[in-house]
Amino acid sequence: MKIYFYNTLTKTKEEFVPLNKNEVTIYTCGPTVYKDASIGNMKSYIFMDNLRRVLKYNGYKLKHAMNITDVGHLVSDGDEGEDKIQKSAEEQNKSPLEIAQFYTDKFLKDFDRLNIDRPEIICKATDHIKEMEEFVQKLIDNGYAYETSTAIYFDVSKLDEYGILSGIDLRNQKAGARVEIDKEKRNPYDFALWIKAPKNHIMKWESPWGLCYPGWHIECSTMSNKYLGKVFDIHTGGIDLVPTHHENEIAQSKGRTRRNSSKILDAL
Amino acid sequence: MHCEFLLIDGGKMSKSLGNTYLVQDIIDKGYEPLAFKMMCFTAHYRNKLNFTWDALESSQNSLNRLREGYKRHLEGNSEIEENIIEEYKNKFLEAINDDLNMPVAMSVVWDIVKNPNKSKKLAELLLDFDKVLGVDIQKENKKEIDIPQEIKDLIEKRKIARENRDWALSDKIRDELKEKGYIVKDTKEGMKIDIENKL
Repeated sequence: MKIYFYNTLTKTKEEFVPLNKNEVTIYTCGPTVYKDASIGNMKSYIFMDNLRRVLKYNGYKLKHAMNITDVGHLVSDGDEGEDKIQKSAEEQNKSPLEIAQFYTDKFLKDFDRLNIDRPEIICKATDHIKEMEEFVQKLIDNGYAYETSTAIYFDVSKLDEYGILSGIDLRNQKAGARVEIDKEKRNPYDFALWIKAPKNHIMKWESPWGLCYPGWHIECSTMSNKYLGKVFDIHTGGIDLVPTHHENEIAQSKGRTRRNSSKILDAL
Repeated sequence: MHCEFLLIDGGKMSKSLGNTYLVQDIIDKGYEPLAFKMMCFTAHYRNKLNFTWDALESSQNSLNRLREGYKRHLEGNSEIEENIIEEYKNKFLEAINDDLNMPVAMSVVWDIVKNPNKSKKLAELLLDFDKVLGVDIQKENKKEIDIPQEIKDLIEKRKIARENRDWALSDKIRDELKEKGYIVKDTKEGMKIDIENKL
């Protein structure tokens, strides 16, 4: 029987035909592990479980990756503020690593309690620092990213269609419409790929641009690319992720492949 | 594909309102986490879902009824025609393949539960659907506490008294039960009995 799914990008229900007829590839934006997951968060993973089970019931094999964000997700959900994990670690007098492990274990315990079928691949951001760095380098090489004194930013003006998922229209965005922390940013919607670590930042890694830590969005493009390939079938997440996180994920993946209107879009 | 928000009592979940509930809170209040999963099936994933503790209570009741219904089919010996099974199966598959339309899929599940012809084949079918639901329908429901016959008789007597609107008798029996350590509460769903801790 045919399967139909709603595509956030096209805003229509479309017949689902996987790229590979035997195996469906899925990427799910997992939790930022700095506090307990609420039942509101769990609604989204019950939906994920539902999707997995329906595809399996239809006879498909799955290759499904879900990330665990253990670095780079800032309090503002944008480029400002403290790292959520570090803030929680300071409040609880623990190391960021301890915090991340503690809440990852609790999160997965809730999966078991809700009978949520676990994705085949569960991957942590901090295990992919080198790959993220390479991704950022590739974006610079391809002309989609630039360095300032505080970060490496993605230049959204290089894309024809930035905002396509959430319907942001860049032409209507006046300069300075959003509060700008970094005056060196070229466009208001440019976002940080790689952040130069201030002295008090605990998690940081050596890189060609000094001691840095990754921005929130780069991990998902890096890990989906690593485990599922340039193009995959389905991308899932909570509705709150559409306007920023997933918009930026699309931008990064397009910038890396230099395909402005690529099949990547079909994945959402 | 993106999943819509969960509302709490019709509003947003927020720290300041103290309504950021966890799976642990569901357990602490005596419900199963899977009752919350059942609740999620009452709305399409692209719609907002409103969480209230009353709604969770009725989702827990639904879960219990589903398991009870499975058991009754398992114990039944009626014959069911193959085409009826096929029809159920097709309807269910059509619903889940239509952008995971769980409310419609659940209505098929309830049709099967309510089918008066109790049949092992329908039990099998429900078990097959549980691959999609993942709510552990084979699990035994919480056992009812062993209530002595004397108490059961009193409860029955009180029920009849209430049906006859004999409130005086109903209250008298209530007091009698209380003396024996059984506290009666009258709720929307009917009479509920708490056992007083007599340690």
